Amino acid sequence: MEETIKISLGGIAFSFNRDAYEALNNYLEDLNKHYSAKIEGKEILSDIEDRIAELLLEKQEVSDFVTIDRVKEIIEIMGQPSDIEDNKEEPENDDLKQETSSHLSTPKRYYRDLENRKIAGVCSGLGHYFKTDPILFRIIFVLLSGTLFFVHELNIWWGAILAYIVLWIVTPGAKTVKQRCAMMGERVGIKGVEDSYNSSVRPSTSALGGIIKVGFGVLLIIIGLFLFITSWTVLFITEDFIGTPLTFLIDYVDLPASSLSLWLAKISPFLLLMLPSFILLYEGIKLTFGFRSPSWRPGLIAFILWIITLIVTIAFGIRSFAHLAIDEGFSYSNEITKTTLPMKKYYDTLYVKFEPLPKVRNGEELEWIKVRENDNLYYAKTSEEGIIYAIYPDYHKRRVQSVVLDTLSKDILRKDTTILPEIKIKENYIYRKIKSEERVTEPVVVKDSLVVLNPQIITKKSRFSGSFYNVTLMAPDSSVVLVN
Amino acid sequence: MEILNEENIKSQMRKGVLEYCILSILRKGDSYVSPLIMQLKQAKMIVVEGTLYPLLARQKNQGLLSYRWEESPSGPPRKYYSLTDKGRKALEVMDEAWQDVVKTVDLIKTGI
Repeated sequence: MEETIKISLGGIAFSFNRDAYEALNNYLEDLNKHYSAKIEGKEILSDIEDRIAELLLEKQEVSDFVTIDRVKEIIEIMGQPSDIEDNKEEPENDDLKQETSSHLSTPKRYYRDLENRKIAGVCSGLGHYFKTDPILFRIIFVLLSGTLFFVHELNIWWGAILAYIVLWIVTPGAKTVKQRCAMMGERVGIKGVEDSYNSSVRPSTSALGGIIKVGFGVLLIIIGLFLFITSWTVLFITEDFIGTPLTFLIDYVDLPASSLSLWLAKISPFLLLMLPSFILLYEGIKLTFGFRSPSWRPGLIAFILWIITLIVTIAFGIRSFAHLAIDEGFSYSNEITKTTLPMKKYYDTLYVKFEPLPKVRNGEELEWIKVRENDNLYYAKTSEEGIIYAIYPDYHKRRVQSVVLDTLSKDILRKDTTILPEIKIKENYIYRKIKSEERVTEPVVVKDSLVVLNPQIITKKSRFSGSFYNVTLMAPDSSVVLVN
Repeated sequence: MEILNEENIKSQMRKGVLEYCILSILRKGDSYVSPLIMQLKQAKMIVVEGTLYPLLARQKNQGLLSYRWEESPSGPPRKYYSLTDKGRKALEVMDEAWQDVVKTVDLIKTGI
């Protein structure tokens, strides 16, 4: 007695001889390999199984065993996967035949799309290659060249244009039907054309759903634009009165960091501000014009990038303030040192002198401009070092009562000369305390009755240490204070 | 240019025509797969049955065909295929195209 196996085929139970079962199983697995990649593969397979069941029933009763001969016969009728494949999907294109003996479509290649071009079809071709709307690439190119154009220090706005021209030169335009199909990644011939016709018909959504989608998309675009302009303003409005966009100020800050992390610290706040508006604009355009996300999911990538920049920015923030937190035991004040310079004797007149800013630096005449009214920050443009800054200590005057009424004879005023003037210096630092031996110039120098306030010069080379000085002159109210 | 492959040319022509034939058969009335295969085999349009299923699945996905399950007097329920409105329209277009092709080929062959 031969071993038999019961299996269900097309909803009917059959008893197979073992060899017959194995032959059929192998056959079905071969078919499965062929069709599993296709969407309708399952359906094709189940149709074929149904048909096999039907064929089996044509010549025998359900109760009969299925023999290997019968299975072979049926496979003959149905055809080997290669026969089926040959009849249906043999590529018609002779040029590409060697590459596509078993592929369902011609290999995709990047061509410039000459039929839908704006300039040379570079973006349109990219759109085909990534199966997305070319407008996305056009926006990227325009924004990239536009953005970089406005960033003076990063004088590479022509980079995007150069990239375009290089792509223009090195990639061929899709001139023939074959090339067009390779560009679109579709098979050549009538069927390829038919398929591309079918795929271009978008699945229709209900009118109301469409309106809501477009409305939401437009809203996203508006919010995105608003956010974009706001972020842009925040980043670059400083240029109007400092002469440098905010992100480039970091060049002037002496971060305890390597050049890579400095670069990260610089780019992160920029991306942190800019990415959300790009994501909103992208999603909005996607909804409004109804194009699908390309397979590499730019929206998702932008979002992940944004999370990374957020983490980096926070990390740098923590790093910058870590000293502070540790030194101060997490107090909110960043007031670190207080120094008092007492004067040795009483002066009727006290002089405060803001040391003049250097007129010449490296043989170049400097023109210092005040950043803001009532501010102690100046900048000057130099040809060698770019913009340089000068910051004076913050100066205040406070009166100390030194004229007292004589308690015995109320008419007589008496100067209390035991009250001596004092200079109080508070050093606030953001992230690094400058030791006195590191200082090029002391912020405050006292010579007899003269108090000299020295500016700190900040360049890209001698960066801002993070220290702010707050100088208070405690002057007896009987003495005269002359500033400059 | 590659040497002309007779088999390849035949299979290419058959492929396009086969889709036309399936729709034409279904125009005469709904059918399940066995009669469809019978007619196509008689007309020598197909050699192996397996060819048909991917085509049917694709035409169905394109919305040219639809199917319903119907009980059969013997055996399991059968898939009855029928033309959709879209399929009917596609068929009309194909009819025209076919007529054009036949006319063109005739014209060229007779040399008029």
